[in-house]
Amino acid sequence: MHELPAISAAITAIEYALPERVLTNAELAATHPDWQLDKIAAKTGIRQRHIAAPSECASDLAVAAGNELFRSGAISPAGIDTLVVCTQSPDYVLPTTACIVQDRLGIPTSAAAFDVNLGCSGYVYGLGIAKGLVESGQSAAVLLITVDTYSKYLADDDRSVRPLFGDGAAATLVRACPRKAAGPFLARPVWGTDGSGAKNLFLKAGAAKSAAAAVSGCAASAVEAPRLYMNGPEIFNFTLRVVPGMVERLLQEDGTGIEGIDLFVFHQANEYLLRHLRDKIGIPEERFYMSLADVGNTVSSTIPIALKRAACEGVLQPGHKVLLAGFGVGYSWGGLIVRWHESFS
Amino acid sequence: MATTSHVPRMSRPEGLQTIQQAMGLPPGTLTGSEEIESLDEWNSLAVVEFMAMTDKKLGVSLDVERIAACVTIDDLVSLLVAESGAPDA
Repeated sequence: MHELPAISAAITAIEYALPERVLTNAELAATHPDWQLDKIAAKTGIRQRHIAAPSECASDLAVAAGNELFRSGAISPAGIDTLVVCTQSPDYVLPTTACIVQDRLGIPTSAAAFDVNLGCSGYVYGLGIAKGLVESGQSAAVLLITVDTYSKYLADDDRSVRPLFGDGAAATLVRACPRKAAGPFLARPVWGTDGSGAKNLFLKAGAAKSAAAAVSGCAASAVEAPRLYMNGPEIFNFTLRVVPGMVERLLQEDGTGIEGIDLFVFHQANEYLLRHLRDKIGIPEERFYMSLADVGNTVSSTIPIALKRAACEGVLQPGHKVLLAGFGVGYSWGGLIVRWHESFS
Repeated sequence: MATTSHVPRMSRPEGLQTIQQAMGLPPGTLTGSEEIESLDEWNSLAVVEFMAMTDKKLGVSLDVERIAACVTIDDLVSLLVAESGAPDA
């Protein structure tokens, strides 16, 4: 018979950091009077977003979030044995952002450190990786940092993406905790991938493919600015296609129904999409958490920011079961049920 | 052998009304002959809202490429009516 591990990976702390600069809808409306920002805000639920300074990159925000976590007293840098940085806007193509962050945070050189290149599904993937490392005995304390500065990829005049995305970072501590009779703190994740959707949320320039094209004379310009392209309707269809099924599978694996989950926290893409998914799946409004009005879509950090806020507001309490769902660029998706740990700070 | 019955679920006037709603226009604004390209209100948010409404009302996920292939509002209405299983009348 398969023996369950005596330890379970658990989320014991989350902190986040946002750039100082705030870009409000009023500012966007002033430079783009034809954008109908009021209408956009009514649909997306986003009223402002934080934007990284020109010289502020992923490692800066990652370090700020990590230091917040260390200041909270949850753990010291010396206690971290694995650092995972999830980002799609690394400082450099190489070296790995996690290596830079390890050094700047003072995490021991004996620690493992690596990047994960995923977007909106990245937080759930990060938790899955942390669970695997902890429950197989390879790690006792994983620092998972999600960070992105998508604002650097947005064209000033692109109405479909500029009002949506904000920059930010979140640091999540996943530790080895004694397993309880109620089961693991992080249940088995559900994954999904469909690379046929790659073209619908796409950053063409900035890596080897565009460099190769420039060398061979195929590119329009040798120095092409990386600009994010999003086909909103295709992304919308994709989420309707995969998210309800993923939630159903998670509930089946958990052996419970919607009524058995205390809180649902989905990737905070925009309110319109979230409300539609909520109603389609049949999740009661009071158990569906949304928090993006002041930060926008921060990519892989939306879920940990929402979790931290839900915990601070008392909406999320020890022992609660919370269902997480991340979905987007790739296409990539992942879901996980978390039992909230009593030591969360 | 099972057969599929085509139960009318959306008429052309209802289809036109759905499109106007998605675009945030008051009833009676559109006649159907308008070219979609010429309408500022038909942006990616309106397309997403249109798709959400059809999913909610009809349980149908519209193909984005088929939406993009529509030239006039009437084409869009025809697509909607056809997808809803209603007679195109």
